[in-house]
Amino acid sequence: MLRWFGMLLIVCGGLLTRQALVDEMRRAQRIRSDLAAAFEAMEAEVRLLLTPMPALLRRTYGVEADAFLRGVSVRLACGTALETAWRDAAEGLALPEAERMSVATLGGRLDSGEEGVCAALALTASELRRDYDRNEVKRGERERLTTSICISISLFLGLLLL
Amino acid sequence: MGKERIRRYEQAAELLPPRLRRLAMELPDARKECAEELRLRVCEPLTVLTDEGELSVAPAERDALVTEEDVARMVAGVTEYSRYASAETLRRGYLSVRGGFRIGVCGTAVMRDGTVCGMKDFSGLALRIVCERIGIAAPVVPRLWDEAGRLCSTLILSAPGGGKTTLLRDLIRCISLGSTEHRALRVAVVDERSELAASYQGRAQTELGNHTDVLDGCPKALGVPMVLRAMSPQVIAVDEIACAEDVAALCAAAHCGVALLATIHAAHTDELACRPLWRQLLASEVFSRAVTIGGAGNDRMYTVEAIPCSAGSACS
Repeated sequence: MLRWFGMLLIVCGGLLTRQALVDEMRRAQRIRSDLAAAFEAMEAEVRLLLTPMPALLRRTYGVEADAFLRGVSVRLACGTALETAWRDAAEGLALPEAERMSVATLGGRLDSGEEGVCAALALTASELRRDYDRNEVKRGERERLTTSICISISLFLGLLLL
Repeated sequence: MGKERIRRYEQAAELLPPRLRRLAMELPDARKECAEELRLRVCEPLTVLTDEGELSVAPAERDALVTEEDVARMVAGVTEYSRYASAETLRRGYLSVRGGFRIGVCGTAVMRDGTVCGMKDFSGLALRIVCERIGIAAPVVPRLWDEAGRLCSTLILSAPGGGKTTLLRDLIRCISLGSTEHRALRVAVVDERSELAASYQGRAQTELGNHTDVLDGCPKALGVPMVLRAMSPQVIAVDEIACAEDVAALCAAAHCGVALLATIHAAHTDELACRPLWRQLLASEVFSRAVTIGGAGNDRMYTVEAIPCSAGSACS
């Protein structure tokens, strides 16, 4: 009886691990999508209205983008330079290293002329969109793979216990 | 007045990078009171411009040396990391910043098709401490009305740094507020270089009266007809008439029955007849009063004359 209970716990652990991994993948997708939309909106505001950066950072774009931009805002208010504030905030993004770097380097290109800022925002937004689309195509397949691996491993460990 | 000037100085010093800010704040109050500008030049000490000339803010000049990073950091800070939003004024060599201050900018001009389209590699900044002197125009205003009770179009003359803009600003305030003798008039200010209203993100930072409309950052030759059509002003005020287009725009406005207030770089009225542009202005017979500013610091004298010049009457 105790062994059956142990096996049940292992399977449950496997399922929870699967859920955590899937949630992480979905959150990364949400971050890509929110940030891309935010950067596109910022690019449009700069192009049409030349809205200054502090006002752009205060706008509402989406949960994940708002959290990131609020982080930049708070650091700016503490006297940190924009480039450093942006890079530090980007460090905390739940994205793969390459994508985090892509977002982090954007900060260094924001204090320039209109064309430079618009181009930098548009480029980063398009990179994030591309990554989002690529991951979205593979999302179902990855989720199924994660599910099967987690369940297989937990069942295997459960059977070993029995 | 002294305390106000010290407060303005300290507000201006807040815009400096932290290391230089600390040095600027340590200046004695007597110096802060007479400070007109803070000047930063790369590889030179931070200086403060006073009646006595440019003085270093620190006894040991080495401590006050300005680095390239200081200048770049200050530009980034005052533009709020949004250089694109200040590109138009930066192109013209200055920045309007929060608090009503103006920063003159020097560096390498970026040229495109023969025009300056930007500025890079900043090498020098002149942070001008805009000071309002509320009430200085009070003795002048009563002399600017004719017998029929109409405001005469008035030119304000002095050498550069003589206080023309400060007087014009207070004249606008007085005329816009009105008095027991003269009712308030609608004043439109075409503030090409953001010196009169010191607008920051569309809001005037100086006291210009409650019947004043400000068109900020627009060339006078374009702005005068715009405000004339859009705001139906009774008075149009502009700072520093400098070219034939400005004169033409003002003449056109004057012929529509609007009184004008303007400043001009000339030490006295005789000088007006010496330069072609000013001769053109005199020939147009648009202006009928001239206020000449004499003296310096707190001892400025304002002489009001009729144009063409007659015997002037002085008021201090």
